[in-house]
Amino acid sequence: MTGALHRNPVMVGLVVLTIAFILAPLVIATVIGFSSSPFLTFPPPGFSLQWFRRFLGDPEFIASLRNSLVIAGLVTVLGTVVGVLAAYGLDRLPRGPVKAVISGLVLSPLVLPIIVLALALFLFLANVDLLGTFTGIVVAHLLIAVPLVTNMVSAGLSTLNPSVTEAAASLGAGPWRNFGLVVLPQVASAIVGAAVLAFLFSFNDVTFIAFIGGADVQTLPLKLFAYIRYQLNPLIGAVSTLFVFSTLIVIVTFDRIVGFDKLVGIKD
Amino acid sequence: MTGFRVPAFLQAISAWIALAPVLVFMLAFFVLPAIGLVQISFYPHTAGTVLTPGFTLAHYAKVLTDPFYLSKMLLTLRVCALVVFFSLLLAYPVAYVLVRGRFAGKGLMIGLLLSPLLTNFVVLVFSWILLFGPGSFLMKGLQPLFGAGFKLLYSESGLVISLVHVAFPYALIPVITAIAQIDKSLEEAALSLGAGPWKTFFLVVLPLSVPGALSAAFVTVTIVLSSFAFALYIGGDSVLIVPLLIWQAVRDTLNWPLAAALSVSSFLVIFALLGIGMHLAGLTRAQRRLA
Repeated sequence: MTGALHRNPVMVGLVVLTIAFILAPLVIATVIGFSSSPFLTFPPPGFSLQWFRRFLGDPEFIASLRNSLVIAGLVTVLGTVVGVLAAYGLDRLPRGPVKAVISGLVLSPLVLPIIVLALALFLFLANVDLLGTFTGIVVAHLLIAVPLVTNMVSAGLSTLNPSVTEAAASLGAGPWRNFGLVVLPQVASAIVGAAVLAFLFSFNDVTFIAFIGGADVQTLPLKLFAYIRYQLNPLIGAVSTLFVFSTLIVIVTFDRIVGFDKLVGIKD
Repeated sequence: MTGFRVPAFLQAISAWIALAPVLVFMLAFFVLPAIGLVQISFYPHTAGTVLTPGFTLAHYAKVLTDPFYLSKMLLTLRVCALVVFFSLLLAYPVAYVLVRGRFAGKGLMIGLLLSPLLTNFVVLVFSWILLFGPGSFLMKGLQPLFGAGFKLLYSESGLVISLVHVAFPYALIPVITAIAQIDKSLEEAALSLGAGPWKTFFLVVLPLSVPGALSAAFVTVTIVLSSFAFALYIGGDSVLIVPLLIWQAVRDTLNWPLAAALSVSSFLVIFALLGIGMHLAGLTRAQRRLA
């Protein structure tokens, strides 16, 4: 038995405080969304659904929501396909400098500050006239989505028993058939998890879109980003509520499918 | 191994076919823009035009010697250091309890702790404006304690608090991984030799998890430098950290070469610090082996 420090009251107290700190802002934004007041008074004087109605009745917000969903959908599909292929390719390369360089190249967007990537892409896209276009935004989000998927699926692939693939190969399965029928099903949950994270990244992104989005292609986060600059009212709270609840659904579902304890490697 | 085997060359080709899309994509939209960024950081800036090709070191000289930019670089480093410190301070107890404790709903608890990572940054920014804004219930409660001049919105402490909130999940994951890798029997040995649980934590768990803490620190710094939405709305003009300066150079003064030079220099500074950190960690481990 270890020293029971994980049951020490000071330790547990710190953990409870941390959880409260993490959840408090989200809870408050959610409550404000139901406010009956036009001002951001907390606790609200009364409750109503007026701000949800305002949000859902605003064609500009709905259009930006549609844009966000389309972009995130495209990014998820493209990012998952390219990322899974990349993970498979990396897995098949023999250990050595070539593999190290390629995996370094594929994964490095994840370690750079997004603002540096966004600025580099902003300057590049301005040059090729893709600034403020749909394509430009999808490309920007793929820059994170692809390495994200590659990273998670690579981790899944590295835990597989190579003798299964060897057995399939010795029974006559070529590399592609092997990939589709033997390898993919074994890492399905990693792929699903990676796809969910890619979707969430694209759907939530503010930094890329603030740099390379434009008046023509507004996503919901960009619209909100501009909105809070000029007005602060419970409408953003209502949107936050929608975001928080969809995030909660994703968290619970993700935990069911992949398991957060498994994701961070402490499944026992 | 008898029977049919896939020829080696075909296997190698299949790997390259699978890698082709990602390589083309990364070359076109990561390597080329990165080269462009470095190139543009040397362009001279002339008011009125956006980009004029040429070569000058003026922007780097400005970033690294001008007292204004120098002080903002130092401010950014201080904000990064504070956010790293407090994120780790919160992450360690949580990670330890999650790894060593046995209770139901662990997965869901991790999910909730990671929720800032999955929530829209604008929602988080809005929540903090709500909490920190003048007249909010939090400020009404805090002002009698800290004096009427106390404020969190447009202040360094407010920015640090909101950044710790958003960086915490990113710091938590590497710390969990590091603690999970520590052999439990090492802690048991320390305990059976008479070290108390806290002493064991500080002398066994903490030193052995330094690599995890370092990668947590690195990711946290990356997050601080990425989240300019927080800098813009919570720090504002009173806490001009580098991401905000980059944003202003792009949007307000249209000095793109300066923005590029700021990005390249902050990037170099982080990697230098990371290198020093890894070097120091390697050194202390080597020293321990010698002792």
